[in-house]
Formats: sequence, C-alpha cells, structure tokens
Amino acid sequence: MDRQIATWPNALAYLRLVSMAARTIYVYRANIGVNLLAMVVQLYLLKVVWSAVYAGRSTIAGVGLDELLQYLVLSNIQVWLLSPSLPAFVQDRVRTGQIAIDLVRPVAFRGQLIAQQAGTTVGMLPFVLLALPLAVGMGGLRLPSSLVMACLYAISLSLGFLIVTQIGLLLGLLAFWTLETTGFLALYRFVVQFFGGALVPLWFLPPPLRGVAELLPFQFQAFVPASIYLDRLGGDELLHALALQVLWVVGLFVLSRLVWQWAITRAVINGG
Amino acid sequence: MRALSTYRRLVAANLTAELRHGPSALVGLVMSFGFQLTGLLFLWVVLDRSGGLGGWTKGEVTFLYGLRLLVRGLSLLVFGRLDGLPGLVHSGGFDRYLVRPLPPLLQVMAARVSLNALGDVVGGVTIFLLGNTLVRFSWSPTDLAYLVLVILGGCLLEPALRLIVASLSFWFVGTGRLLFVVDDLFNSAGNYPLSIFDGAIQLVFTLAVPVALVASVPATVLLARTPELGVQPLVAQAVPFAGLIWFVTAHRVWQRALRSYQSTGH
Repeated sequence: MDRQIATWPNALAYLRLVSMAARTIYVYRANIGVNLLAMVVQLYLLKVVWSAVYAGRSTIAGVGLDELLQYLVLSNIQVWLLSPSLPAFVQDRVRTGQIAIDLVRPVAFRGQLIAQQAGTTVGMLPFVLLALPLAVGMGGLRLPSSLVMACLYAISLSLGFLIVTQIGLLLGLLAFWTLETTGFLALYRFVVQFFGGALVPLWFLPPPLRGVAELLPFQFQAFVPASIYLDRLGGDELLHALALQVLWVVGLFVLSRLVWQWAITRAVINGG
Repeated sequence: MRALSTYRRLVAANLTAELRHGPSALVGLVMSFGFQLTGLLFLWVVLDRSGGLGGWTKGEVTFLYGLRLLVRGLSLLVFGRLDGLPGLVHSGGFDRYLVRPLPPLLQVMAARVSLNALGDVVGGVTIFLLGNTLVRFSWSPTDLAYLVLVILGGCLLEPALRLIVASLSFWFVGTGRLLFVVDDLFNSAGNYPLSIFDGAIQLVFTLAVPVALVASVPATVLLARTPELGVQPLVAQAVPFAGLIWFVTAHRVWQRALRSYQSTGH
C-alpha cells in the first residue's frame, strides 16, 4: 500500500498536509491554553516539592536546585510540545469510516499521519513563545552553552520528535483492532512523565528503575534532549545517545511499517 | 424515593453497558491505577533522595497519598466524573434530560458509571494500609469516627468543585478542559503536606480551590501534626464539614446554571 517513490507533487502534498494540521491547531487554541495552564501548574508544584526536598542542601546527586529547575522546565515544555496527536486522530478516522478516504488519497497513509503530527507540532511552536517567559521566570532557563550545543539539542529534539511520532502512529494503529486508543494514550502519558524524566530527571532514579528507563524510548522525549541542552552529556556519551536515538527512529519506523501492513489487511470500513 | 429507585436502575443499566466492553473496562481500570501509581513512585523517589518532605516521613506521605486516592475513588464511584456534561450542553443532548422524570443532576451522574474508580478505590485502600503499616498507626475509636467523617466530607468536596466547573459550561461553551485542570490539581497538589507551600498558596488550597481539605489537612490531624497548620485544632478537626458546605454551594450554582440553560439543539 505504501508508495515508495516520493515525487515532487507528493512533496508539495505533504507540505500542504503539514500546513493544514498546523492551522487546525488554532481552531483548538483554547485547548492549548488549558494544556499550557496545566503544565504551568505542574511546574509550579514540582518547583515547590523540589525546593522542599533541597531545603538546606546545595546539591543532590551532584545536581543543584537551579539546574534541576531548568531541567524540569525544559523537559515539561518538550513533553507538551511533542505530545502525540495521532492516536485520537486515527481512532476517529477508523470509527467514522473516513479512513476510506484517507486510503484512496495519492499520498501514503503513514506519510499523511507523519505530516499531520509535524503540522501539529509546528502549529504549537508559537505557543512555546508564550511559555518561555514563564520558563525564564520560574526556572531561570538560560541559553545553551554554545552554538554547537544548541544545534546538537535541536538535532536530538528532532530525533525525539520522530520517535514520538512513530510511537503515536503505533498507538493510533491499535484502533484497527480495538477501536479505542484513549486508554493506551493515558498509559503513554504517565509512562512518559515518569520514565521519560518529566517529573524526575533520570539521574535521581534508583539504579533498577533507571535501567528500565534507559531501555525505553520515552527518555528521548524529555530526558535526553534536556540533558544535552544543559551540558550534562559530554563527548562519547552524547554521541552514544544520538546514535541510540537514530537506531530507535529506524527501528520504530520499520515496526510501524510492519504493523501498518498487518492493520490494513484487517481494515473494516465503517459506514462504507 | 421513586427518583432514587429510577436512579438505581439507570446506574445498573449503565453498569451492564460498561461491562459489555469488559476488556476495555479492565484496561481503563489498570490505567487509572497506573496513573496514580506514577504519582506515588515520584514521591517515593523524591523521599528516598531527601528522607522527608516538609518534615513528613515516607510513611506519613504514603498514608496521606493512600487516604486521598481512597476518597477520590469512592467519590468517583458515586458521582462519576461529570466530564460528559460540557459535551451534552454543547451538542444540545442535554435537552433529553430535562424532559425525563428524574432530576437532571442524577441523570448526569448516572450517565456513565466509572469503573476506573474501582481501580482507585482498590489502589487507595492498598496504599493507605501500607502507609498505616509504615507509620505504625494505632486507631482509636475517635480516630476511626473522624476517618469516616473525612471520607464522607472528601466524597462531597471533589465532586462539588467539579460540579461548579461543569455548571460553568451552561454559560461558557468549552469549559470541558477546565474540568481536567481541576482534576489535575486534586491529583497532584492534594497529595502533599500543606506545610510545603507558601502562606498565600496555602490559603488558595484551603479556601479557593480546597484541594488540601480532602486528605492533606485530615491526615495532618490524624498523624497528630496539627500544630504545623497554624490554626486552632478545632478548625482543623472540623474540616470534613467543608465538604458539605461546598456541596450545598455547588448545588445552588448548578440550579442557577440550569435555569439559564439555552438549548443549542432543537
């Protein structure tokens, strides 16, 4: 079902899809505002709790409170920015039978979905500007230490985006079997919060839990890019982390392709 | 009385409907519990790093966490989430409730039986018992009586706030998401000892958005830490009645909202 050759008209079609998804965001801007509010509340609570924990101590596990707060602000913005929109979308298309239209379009379905998620994330970028003053005010977020680090951060975050998109796509494809993805999305959300490092940086996890977190791809949405930004990953570690991200992207891409091929053989078009 | 038996039958019918989707219900139940467990895991990691939070030990924080989860689960079982209401008002589907011979609020409550809440109850009881063991709590009859009041009061308090926010949807379309923010606040801020917050925020969490009154303040009383609240012990002990006051207020707001309902459908 997948079209192999991306021709120019296709590239244009993808761009249109991206911009459509980006514009859809503004229709739901009240939602984004509320999500932003929820994030600010969470950040405030994290700040209070961690400040209470640090009471009378300058560092824990070699991390100062200032740096920890910067980390938390950064990782929470990332989790919010990259939150997957595909599970709800695919579920809706499968349930209503509109998936039939998606399938006859001249752009491969998975491609449409990736474009859709890209558009959502691009559309949310301006809202980050709203969050930034808060980030600076609450967490004292500063610029990356150098231009190189800034670029490496951007690369890591982009790879993180691809990983989250593939995970979101896989969760969405579950709708072909279950017609229901809300539960899985909820599971995803709390796993990211904890094992991705949005509540606690992985430095603080006891070894067994940290081991589990490092085997999972969720760290690439929050922990890994944020650590790069804050200069916590240097030299070999950094290269190793980026290489691992690339491996995850490739692996998940192959997996989502296989699952898609399986899903399409089971596709039932509702109301067709 | 007649309304009550209709209500019971509605709940039973919706429960049967929910059970038809057995596996899905089970997934939801596990998810709900898992979500709550994440919060506890977070607290434990924090407490292992620090040895205490605002002077509370790991056991005491676990006690508080379990108590709140238990109350939350029970209140959800009885009152549901009310999160369907903004959608019903938006779509005009709420009209149906107005012509049926049962108070609309009871119908909204019965519209969806939240089985996930059962996960919260079981999780809450387990964590609460664990907390009890960790702090070696010995229950006196007074404590037990107080616990019953706390549970009853808490069961009214969270739904009261949800009801107020849900009522807003009669005036402003699109307040549905706000319900999740309130829920979030109870789920996060409600689990911490009040003493870790600044004075102003303490006031917010006790008076404006009383997330601390569900379990945080009662746990402080039960664990004999009342002096850290900085109020007369009697005031702290009377906290369960706040639930009743809030619920009566919320019901007033609801009735006003109901009067200004303008259908979006036909």
